[in-house]
Amino acid sequence: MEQSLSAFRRVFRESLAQFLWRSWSALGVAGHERGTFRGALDPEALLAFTCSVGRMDARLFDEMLDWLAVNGRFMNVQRLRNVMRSFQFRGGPVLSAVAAWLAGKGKNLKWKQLADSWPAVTPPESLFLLEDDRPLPVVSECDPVFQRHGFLRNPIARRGLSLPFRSSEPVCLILRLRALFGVSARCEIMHYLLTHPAAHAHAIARETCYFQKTIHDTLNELACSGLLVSVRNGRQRLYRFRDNALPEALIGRNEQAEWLHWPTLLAAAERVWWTTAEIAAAELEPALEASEIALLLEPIRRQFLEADWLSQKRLFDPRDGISALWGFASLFDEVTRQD
Amino acid sequence: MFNDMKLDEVLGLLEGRLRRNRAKPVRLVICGGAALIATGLLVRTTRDVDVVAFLDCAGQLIPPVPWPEDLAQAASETAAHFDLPGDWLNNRPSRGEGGLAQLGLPEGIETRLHRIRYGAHLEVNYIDRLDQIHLKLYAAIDRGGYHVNDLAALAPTEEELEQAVRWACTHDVSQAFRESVRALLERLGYGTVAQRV
Repeated sequence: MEQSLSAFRRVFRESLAQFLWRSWSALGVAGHERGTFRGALDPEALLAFTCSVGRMDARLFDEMLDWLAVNGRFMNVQRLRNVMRSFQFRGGPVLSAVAAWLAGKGKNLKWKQLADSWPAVTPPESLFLLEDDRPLPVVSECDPVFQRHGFLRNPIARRGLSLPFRSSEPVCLILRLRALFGVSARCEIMHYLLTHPAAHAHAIARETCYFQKTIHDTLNELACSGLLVSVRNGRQRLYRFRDNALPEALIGRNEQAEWLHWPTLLAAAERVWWTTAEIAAAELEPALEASEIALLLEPIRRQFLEADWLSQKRLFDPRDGISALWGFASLFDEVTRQD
Repeated sequence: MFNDMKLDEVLGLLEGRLRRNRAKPVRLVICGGAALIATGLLVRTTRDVDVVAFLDCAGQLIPPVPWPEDLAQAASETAAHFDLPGDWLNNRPSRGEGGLAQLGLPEGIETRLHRIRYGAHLEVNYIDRLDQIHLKLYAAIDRGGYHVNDLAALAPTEEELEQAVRWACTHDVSQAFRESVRALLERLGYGTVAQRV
């Protein structure tokens, strides 16, 4: 593998672009090979990620907008806000612009509330980027909604090819649950219980980016249905499905839903993407560059060490310099592709 | 462990870390083993880098307390890169009330420093051989061990040793200290100096 940062970024860029296309296509965006994934996609984490890293691909970004125009009612805006803040995704101002655009289409009041959540970028900058990270120039008039949020881009022309999400696909499980139960914490709770033998409220809240009280109260309500049971486990209550009837109805008899914590993974990929751009631009001497890479990857590695869903994976050593970055990229590819 | 090449590499990265973190520039005055190695006085290794003082903008020596957070962070990041102990860069010689900078460094030490600039954010000043003799004598009385070896290896002249003794005695005016000085000088073969102090 090449030991230059620019070589790494070239390959990682392609990997991220492929991931974004496969993901959105799996959810219903037209015109690309649909991806298969180990678990259900997290629509809020994916949107947060695309509002940042997706700036590298104008076509992909607009397909996402098209998809949101069709399926946006199944997005959980409150959870999206939590994910953005808890994982410090960088695309807040872009997300505000997206929300403002959706609100302007009359798509649900919830987007209007999100449209003011992050301040406009000043001075205005190009929304999209060329392959070498330079801004994509805008030669014609600018889209007024994005411009108000500090982003210069061409007017949006929807292709209108996005489909409703494919409810039978395992990758769309969370959206399917929302269609069934409504957009609420219930869906994340159900998803978590479908992927774990049992769980308590604290773990579910932490993993699904909700407040613990919300999860606790919702679990109590769900338990009243008789389809969930709980047992005391020390000071906590462990919840699980009473039997396999509901899981089989939701995901099929022979299916095994897998858990993957997308916000952790995608926030890490975003940090690697943007921080390596900053490091490359600084043109540092080799030891300092290696030190910067280690500082970038060390906290990511610590997070990954605590993740059960990565316990079988070989992790990179942050002190390996650019080799560590390649290690991260390999891990990302491995985790985001179907085994 | 540091030899002269490793020390140079480590301090180079320290400057880089200070620069990247947009820290204030620092001017360190270094004594001990690191200074002996860097100035070529002795060929050996050392565990850490002892900062005995800072230099302020006017070139005046000031005690290295409080230890700046910027410097601590940059040192910590440098330690992580080279797998060094957390306290590889420290102000142990002048940390508190009885520290060397607090009690007073040898007169004229700042005029004899050996300066190396590592970019805009780090200047390192190693103390001179004469000042090493002063500090090593004091350490040899206070702690013995390898400090005695280092002092002997510096092969001080009688004049240099006498100057060092007179300075050391300003830090500890007790009779017991003087007795210890005499005993050490005798053992090292500086009997005539021992007679004079």
